[in-house]
Amino acid sequence: MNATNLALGQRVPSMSLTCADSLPRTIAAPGTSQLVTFATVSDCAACEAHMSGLETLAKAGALPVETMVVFWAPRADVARALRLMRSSIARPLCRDEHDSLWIRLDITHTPVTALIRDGRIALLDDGPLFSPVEQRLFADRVRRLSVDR
Amino acid sequence: MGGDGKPPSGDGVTQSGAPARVISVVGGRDITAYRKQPLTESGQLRQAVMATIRLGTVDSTQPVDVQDVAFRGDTAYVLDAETRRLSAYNRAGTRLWSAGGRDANDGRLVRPHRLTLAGDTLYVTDLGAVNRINLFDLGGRFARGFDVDSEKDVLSLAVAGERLFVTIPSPEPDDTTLSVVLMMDRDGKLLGRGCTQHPTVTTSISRRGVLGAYRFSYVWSSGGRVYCQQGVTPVIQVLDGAGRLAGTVDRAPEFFVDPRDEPETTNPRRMMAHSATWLAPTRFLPSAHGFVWSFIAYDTVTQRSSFRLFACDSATGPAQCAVGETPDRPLQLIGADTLLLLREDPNPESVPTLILVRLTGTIR
Repeated sequence: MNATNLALGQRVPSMSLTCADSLPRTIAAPGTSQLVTFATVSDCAACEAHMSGLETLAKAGALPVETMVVFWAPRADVARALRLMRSSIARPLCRDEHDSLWIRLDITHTPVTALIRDGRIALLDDGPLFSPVEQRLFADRVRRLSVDR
Repeated sequence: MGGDGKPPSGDGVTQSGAPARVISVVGGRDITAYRKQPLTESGQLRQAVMATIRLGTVDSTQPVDVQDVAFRGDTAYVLDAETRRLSAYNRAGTRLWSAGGRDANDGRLVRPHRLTLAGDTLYVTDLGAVNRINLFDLGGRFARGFDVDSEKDVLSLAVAGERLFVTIPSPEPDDTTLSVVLMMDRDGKLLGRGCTQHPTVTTSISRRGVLGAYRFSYVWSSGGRVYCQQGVTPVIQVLDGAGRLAGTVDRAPEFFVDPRDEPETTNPRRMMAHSATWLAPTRFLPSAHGFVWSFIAYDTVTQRSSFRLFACDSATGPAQCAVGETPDRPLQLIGADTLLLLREDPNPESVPTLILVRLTGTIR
C-alpha cells in the first residue's frame, strides 16, 4: 500500500453521490458492501495497472459487490474529466458534490480501492492488477471479505 | 571541476558527477532576491484576437487532453495525452497528419508531456516512457528516439545551438541542483549540470513540505540562451549556450505572492486549496524583445483557474512592463507580440481551440 490516509476499519460517512449515468447511489449505505475506487484524472501513469485490472474484473462479473469509481476534479472541469475517464472506465463514475469525502477522509495517493462493508473499510488495495493471477487473488479477497461474519 | 578541486559553483555549472551544494548566490548573483516591478496605469496589457483555430471536429481522434502546442507559420503541432498522438493542424483547423499513438511501432507515445520545435524537428518528452525523447520531422514522420542519461522523467526540453537542455527531478532528496542536464550532439550524452534549486524548495524537501513538489522546473530558450524557471520563485536563471550562468531575470509582477510551505499532501482538494494562496509561475516565454510570463491563479469557490500575464520589453536590462489576465492557457510567444492561447471548453462536446492574440501595451 502507498501512504494513503485511509485505514482498515475506518468509518466512511454515508452520503448520496452524483453519478454520470444519472442513477442515484449512496456510498457506505448501512448493511451493504461496495468496492469503491477513489481516483483523479491525473493519477500516475504506473497506476493504470490497478485501474485496468479492476475494469477487467468488473466486466467479467468477477466482483461479487457493487463497484464504482468516486473521482475528484475541480468543479469547473468535471465534464472534461468525465470524458477523459470514460475512455478507460466502464464502472459508474460518481462524485460527491461538495468534496466532503475528500476532505473528511483526506484521501491521498490515488487511485486506491476500498471495500466498504457496512460503513467501514474492510479492504484497501492500490497494487497492480495486471496478471490474471493478481486479479483472481484480488477477487477472492473481495469475495471473502464482502460477506458478513 | 576547477583546478583547486572545488566545484565551480560560481559560473552556474558543475561538471557531471560533481557534488551539488545548497547555494543561493551563483556567480555573484543572488537567486533568491527579486524586485517587484512598479506599474503605472499605462501598464495594462491589451489583447486583440487575431485568429482562432478549432482543432478538428468531435471524433475519436480529436485532442482531448492537450499537453503542449508548437506553432510555426500556418501550422499548429499539438501534443495530446489522451489520444497519445502528435498531430498537425492548419489554420482552418484541418488535421494534416497524426503520429505516435498507443500502438505505433516507432515513436510510440505513452504519456506525452512536452513538445519543443527546434529547426525542423519536433522533440517530444514522455512521462510514461521516463527518460525517452522521441523526434519527429515536420511531416509527422518518426525520425529517431534516444534515452537521456537519467533514470528520472524528463520534464521539459529546450534546444540552444547544438545542445539540448532538459529538466529532471533531482535524483537524490538532498540534491540541490535543478538538474538541468546539458547534452552534446543532441544524442543524450551528459555534459554537465546547470542552474541551482531555490533554497525554499530544498528546505521544504528536508521537512516534507508541500513546496518540495516544486523541485520540478522548466527550461525555455531564445536567441541561444536558456532560461531556467522554478515553481516557487519569480527569479529566472539565464544560461548561455555553453551552460554558463549569464544573468538572472529578477523582476516580478506586483501581483506575485511567495508561496508558504505546508505539510506535504497528495490530496487533490487540499492541493488546490494551497494553490489558491499564491500564484505559481507557469510559462516564461522569452523572445528577442523581452518576455511574456504567465502565472496560474485558482479560485477555490468556482474551482476554476485563470492566468495572470506579466510582460516586459527586456529580460535583463531596464524595461517597460505591463500586466494582463486571461482565462485561457498561454502556450507560446510568436514573434515579439503574438501570444498563443489554448481554450479548453469544459463542455465535452466541444473541441479545444487555439487563439492567437496580439499584445499591446509595452511590448514592442
